[in-house]
Amino acid sequence: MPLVNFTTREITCKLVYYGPGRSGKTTNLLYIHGRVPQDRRGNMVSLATQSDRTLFFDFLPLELGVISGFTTRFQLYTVPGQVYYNATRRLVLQGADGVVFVADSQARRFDDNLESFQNLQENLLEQGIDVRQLPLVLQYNKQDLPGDLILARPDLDDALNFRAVPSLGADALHGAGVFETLKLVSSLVLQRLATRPPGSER
Amino acid sequence: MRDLDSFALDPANRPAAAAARTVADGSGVPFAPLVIVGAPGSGKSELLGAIADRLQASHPRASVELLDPDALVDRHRRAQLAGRGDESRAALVAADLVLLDDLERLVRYRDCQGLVADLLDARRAAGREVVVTLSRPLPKLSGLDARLLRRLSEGTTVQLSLPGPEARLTILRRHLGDPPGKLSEAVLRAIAAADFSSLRDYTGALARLIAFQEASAVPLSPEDSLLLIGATLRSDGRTVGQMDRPPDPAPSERPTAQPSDLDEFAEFLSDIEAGVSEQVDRWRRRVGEAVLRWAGEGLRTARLEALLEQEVAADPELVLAGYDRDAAEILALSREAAALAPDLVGAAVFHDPDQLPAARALVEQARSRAAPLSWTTKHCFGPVFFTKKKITSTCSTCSSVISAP
Repeated sequence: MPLVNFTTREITCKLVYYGPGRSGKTTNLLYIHGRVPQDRRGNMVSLATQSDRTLFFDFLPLELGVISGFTTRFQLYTVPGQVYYNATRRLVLQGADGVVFVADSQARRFDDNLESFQNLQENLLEQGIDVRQLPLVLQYNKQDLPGDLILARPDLDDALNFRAVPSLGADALHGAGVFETLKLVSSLVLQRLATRPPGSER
Repeated sequence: MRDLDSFALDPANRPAAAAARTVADGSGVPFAPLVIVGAPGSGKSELLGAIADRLQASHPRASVELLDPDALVDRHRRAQLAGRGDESRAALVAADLVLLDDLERLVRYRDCQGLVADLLDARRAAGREVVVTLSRPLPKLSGLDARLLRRLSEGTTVQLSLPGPEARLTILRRHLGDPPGKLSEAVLRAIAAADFSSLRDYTGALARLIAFQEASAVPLSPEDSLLLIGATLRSDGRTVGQMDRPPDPAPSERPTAQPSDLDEFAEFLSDIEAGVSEQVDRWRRRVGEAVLRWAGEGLRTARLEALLEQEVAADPELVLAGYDRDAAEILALSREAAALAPDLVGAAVFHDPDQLPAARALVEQARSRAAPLSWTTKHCFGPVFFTKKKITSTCSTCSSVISAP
C-alpha cells in the first residue's frame, strides 16, 4: 500500500518497472529523468554490469511537492531483466505500490516477455501479493519499429493481458507513451488510497 | 561457434563471406568501413557474430565491440551521466574491431549520429576496421545525418541475401549436427524448400522439429514436418510459411514518434495533484458527514474538526473509527447516568467523547450513589438492620441469622 504518513504528512508511492532484459525499462526512467525539473528529482541511481545491462536496479526519486497538505513523493525503480538476477527482482518488488510491465514488442522477444511476466507473477505470489489486487499497467514498448519486426498491440494483449489491465503502446526512446504509462499506474495507485483498511500505513 | 563458411554456400553471398573473412583475419587493407546490406532475416547479425568468433578464436585477447544502436546509445548516455563520456568514446576507438548491427536504427537517436560519424573517422585514421550492417541500401536510408551517410558511402558495400534452397539445406544440415539421424534428409529438404522470409525462421523450424522428434518414437514424414512448422505446399510445389510477417500496421495505429510539445511533467503533476486531492477530499467528506451525525446527537466534535483543519497527525480512518467508538459509549453512559441520577442529565462530560474517562467516573459514582448505604427489614415483630458491610443480622427476638434481602 502507498505509504501515507500522517505524522509527517507525507505520501510515498513506490512504482516498479518490470520486464525482460532490453525491453526499455531504464529508457523509460531516463526519459522521465530528462523531463523532470532538477528541483523535483533526485539523482538517478543506476547500477550496470560490465556489458551495461542493469545489474541491481535503477532508482529515480520524484518530489512532487505539497499536495492537499501532504508532501508527495514517487519512487521509480527498475528491476534487472536478465533471468539470473531474480533475487534482486524479488527484493526490488518488495513493497511495490504499482508495477509497470514493459514488454518488448519485437516478435523475436515474444517468449522473453511471457517468461518475464510469469516471473513477475511468481515473485508477487511468493510475497503474498495477489497480482489481481496490485495496480498493474502493461506497456508495449518499441512500437515505432517497422511493422514486420513487431507484434501489434492486440496480439500482445492476447498473449499477456489476460487480466485485462490497462495497456498501451510506447516508444520509450522518444517518449511516446512514457508519461501516459506513469500517469496511468499512478492514478491506479492513488485510487487505492481511499480503499485501504484503517491503520494500513506501511 | 558461428561459422563464416555457411555464408559462402550461396554464390550470391560469397563476396560478403570473403569480406567478412578478410576482416576477421586482419588481412588486407581496411574497408573503412565494411557495409553489409541485407533484408531482415538474411543473416547479418549471424555474420557479425561469426566475424567476432573467428577473430577471437585466433586472437583470444582481441577486444571486439559488437553493438546495435540501442546498446551503443545506452552505453554512451550512461557514460555521459557518469561523467565518463570521453572514456567511453576512447574505448570504442581503441577496440581491435567494432561491429555495428542494424545501423539504420540509429535514425531514432539523432543526437548520437555524430558520435558514430566521429567514431568512423577516428578508427579510419587509426587504421582500425568497423563493420556495419544495414537492412536497406544507403540511397534508401532516410533520417541519418549527412556526414554519417557520407562516411558509410566511402566504405565498401557488400550484399547479403537469404540463401537459396541448396545453401539453406547445407546450413540446416550443419545446424542439425552429428549424428544427423535426428531428422531424415527428406524432412531437411522439405524445411529448406519452405518459403520463409528469414534465416531465423528456418533454424527455428528445425529446432521445433528436433524437439518434437525427440519426444516421439515415430519418425517424422516431410508432410507432417511441414504441418508442424506451419508451412503448406503450394500448387507450384513451393511451401508457404505462416511465419511470414503481416503487413505493416497503418501509420495511425502506431504511437507518435515525437512527444507532444506540452510540458509532460506539468501534465503528470497536475494529474497527481488531482488524484491526491480527490482522495484527501474523500476523507474530508467522510469526516464532515461524521461531524454532522454526531453533532446531531448533541456531541462535541472537536476531535473530528481538528482533522478537517489538519491539526491532527493521525490516520483519519483510525480517528474516525476511534471517535465513533467513544461517541457510542458516551451516549450509553449518558443514558445510564440519567436513569441513576437525574441531576447528571446535561453534564458537559456526557456531550464530549474526549472526556470519556470523566464520564465513566461520573457514572461509576452515580451507580454507587444509587445503591442505599443501610436498610431494615421486619422479623418477629421487630426491625433487623443491615449495612453494606453487614449483610447478615441476628433477630433480637428469635436469635435466628437473617441474610440481607
